[in-house]
Amino acid sequence: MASQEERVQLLEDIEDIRRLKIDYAGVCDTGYDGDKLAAMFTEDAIWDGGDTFGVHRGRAAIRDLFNEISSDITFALHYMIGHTIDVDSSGTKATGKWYLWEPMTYKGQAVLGAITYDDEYEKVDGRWYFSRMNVQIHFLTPYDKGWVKQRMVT
Amino acid sequence: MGTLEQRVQRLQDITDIRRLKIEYAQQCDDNYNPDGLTVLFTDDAVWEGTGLGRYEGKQAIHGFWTDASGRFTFALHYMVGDAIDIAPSGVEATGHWYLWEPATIDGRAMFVAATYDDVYKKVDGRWLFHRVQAHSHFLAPYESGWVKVPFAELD
Amino acid sequence: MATLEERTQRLEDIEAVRRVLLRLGESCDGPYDADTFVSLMTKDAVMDLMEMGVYRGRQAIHDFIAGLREHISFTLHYWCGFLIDIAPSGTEATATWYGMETPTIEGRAVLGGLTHDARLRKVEGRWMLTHLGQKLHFMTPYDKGWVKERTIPPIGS
Repeated sequence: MASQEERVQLLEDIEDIRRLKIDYAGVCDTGYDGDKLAAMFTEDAIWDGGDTFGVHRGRAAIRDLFNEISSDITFALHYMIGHTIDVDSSGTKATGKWYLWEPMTYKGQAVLGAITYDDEYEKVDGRWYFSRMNVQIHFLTPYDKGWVKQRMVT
Repeated sequence: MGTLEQRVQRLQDITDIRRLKIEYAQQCDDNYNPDGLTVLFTDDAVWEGTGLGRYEGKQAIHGFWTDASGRFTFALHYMVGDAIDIAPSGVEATGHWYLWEPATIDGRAMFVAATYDDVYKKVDGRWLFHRVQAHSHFLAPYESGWVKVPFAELD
Repeated sequence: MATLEERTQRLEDIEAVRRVLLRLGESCDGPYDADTFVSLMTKDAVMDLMEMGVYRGRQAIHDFIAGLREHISFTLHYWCGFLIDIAPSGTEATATWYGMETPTIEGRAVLGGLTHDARLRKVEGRWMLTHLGQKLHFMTPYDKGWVKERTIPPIGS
């Protein structure tokens, strides 16, 4: 059985990681500031957007990715939902799963996005960072179509 | 107010129950995995949903999910706004949730909006669903929206 | 470094604030329950809804919320993404969160996307709102979408 200290620490870590993800959402929704977003990742972090958005390694690549995205996505709301966060026994590494519901304006058209995440986190100098973000896109459908008619926007 | 030990335990229980519900969502979204879902319930659990029937006991609940997995080819369960109360006993709890669910049912795009009233029980140190009551607010075809067609006719 | 007692208290306060905010959202589902809504606010609370007006004090807030009933026959408030900060005093807090809404307004399906902010004060052990704000990102007719029609005309106009 863990000590009371360890149990409180675990609850605090889960809350800190949850905040990290919501902070990430907030920066995405106010213009995707590449510098601010890159600062939430470890130096050698990986942002893996699969076939759609590609794999981006390291802070500089992640910063460039977001600076580029901001010209295509002129509006978005990232509803980050349904987290399951596991902190490992070292207390400095963690994994997390999330759901994202994202209404957005992509290249001038209304798009609904349904996404899930598999994240990895690392605690460096007392602060949690993303060390890996795997992005699974279920649909990015034009609002006037729906995901059965057209799963992915072009 | 409780001892520090009890207070930490309560926070941990809320965290564990929240996780139970999200695991339920994840299993639903894994093509309504009947085995993965059924292990989250107590032996004498009841699952009940407006318009979806009442299923009592693990076997009945398993059968319900097996049927669902044939009809839903896609679903994402966005579980939101959990309000979880731990009973003074520390082994019973209630939870209220909102569900937003884009789904493909019988080949048609649908939006499901529901709320849940759950009862949880702690069995051998693990939280399980004892009762799930799903209130459907709409199950609307994507093309029509919930005012024109609040509940789609399913085959 | 805070004591274990203080750290536990902070986690409890975050959860308590989240519950107050969720209760506020739930009180707006179905028929708008203005009594419950204002019972979660201090007497001098301010609700700043920007384009939808500023309401000062329980009575003004109550009247506005109760008035929504005749226009909105159904809605669900999906509130998520809470960021809650408890001040070092332990008696003040701030919160921001996301809201998605599915109202039926004047018989029309509408999809709402909002962000909210609040300030709270702990009064006799109970967290209460002193300020509630919102930013309306879209409130679009369901059959249109936010690019074609970002917001419907103000309610009652």
